[in-house]
Amino acid sequence: MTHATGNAVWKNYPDTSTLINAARLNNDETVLDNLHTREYGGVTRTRPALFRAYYTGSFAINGTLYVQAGWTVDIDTDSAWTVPGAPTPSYYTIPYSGRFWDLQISFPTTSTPVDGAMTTKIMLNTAADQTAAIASDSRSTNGWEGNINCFRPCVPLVAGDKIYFSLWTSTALTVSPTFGYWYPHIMVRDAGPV
Amino acid sequence: MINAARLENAEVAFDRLYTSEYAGTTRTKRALFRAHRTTNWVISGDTWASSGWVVTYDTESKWTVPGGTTGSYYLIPYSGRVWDLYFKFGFSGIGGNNAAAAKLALAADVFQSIGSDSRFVISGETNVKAFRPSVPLTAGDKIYFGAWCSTALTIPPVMFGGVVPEIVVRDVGPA
Repeated sequence: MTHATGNAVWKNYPDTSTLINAARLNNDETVLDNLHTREYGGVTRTRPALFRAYYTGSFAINGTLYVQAGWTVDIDTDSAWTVPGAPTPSYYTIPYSGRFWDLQISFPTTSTPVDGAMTTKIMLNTAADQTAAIASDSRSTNGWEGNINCFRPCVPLVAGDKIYFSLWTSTALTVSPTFGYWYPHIMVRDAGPV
Repeated sequence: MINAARLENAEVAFDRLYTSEYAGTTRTKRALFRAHRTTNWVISGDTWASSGWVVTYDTESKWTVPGGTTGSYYLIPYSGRVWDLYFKFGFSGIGGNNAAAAKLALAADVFQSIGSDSRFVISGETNVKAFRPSVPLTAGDKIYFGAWCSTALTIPPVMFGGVVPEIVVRDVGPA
């Protein structure tokens, strides 16, 4: 039997077929290094990158609204969220290469345009929802509660890529938390090696 | 004292980590399949993803394309795991009072679906996204991807710069 390390089953002395030597010890080290690299993105990392933010107040949407200032960051493992300040769009900078990323933005509203629509988009490198989107969601609306959830899994991105988020509704409305603690939120997470 | 039993403890811990994370001691990553379209896709009635999808990742080479309009499928490569299944397409230019739907199915048959999404169409863009996370599946299960709209339409290969019709199947861990 061979282990994941490549080492054979260890045997006690006086058997000399599995002597402890540098190569066999290094097999153990390498398998740990590989696990850290694959699971966390590097041998010195201890977790994959994760970013989550939400908005606890209310904001008006009138045409396309890019996510900008005012979002509460509850986790940003790599300090990659950049807020230039309103009205400039904020963005998440992909911190390292060679990985897939899950991307999400969602927002709720208690009332929606009659015979209207709500959309969200996730953009790559440019805050331009009509030309630079890499994910989109939309919902037709009819006056009642509206919830939209734009999610795209396993997007291959490289270090330095900037991820922007936008919201849109067919008529102006104000978005605020619904049903207690259901906030608009955004999420970016490392989903594993490419 | 360093002895074989203690060294084996460390080895077995590595083995278990690999089995848990990658589904086997000789594997080095989880299975992932990802494909999208680069050409128009005509939907008329129940339409199954068949030919014409560009595969960008298929770690286990499990995407099977019988050809023509016969439904293509992803063949689950090993047992004991849970899987995320994702199928998304979008369009615009369809008038009001229509609907569109997406299916994740165990056969090219909407009545063997294990995941579904539907959207009411008023105007503007429509995005249909069937996503079901952590589905327990076994080796040999076949996953088909179906689209439907109440009126025939053409799905464009890209919208808004980089929004594409897309299929993702990924191993997300032990069952």
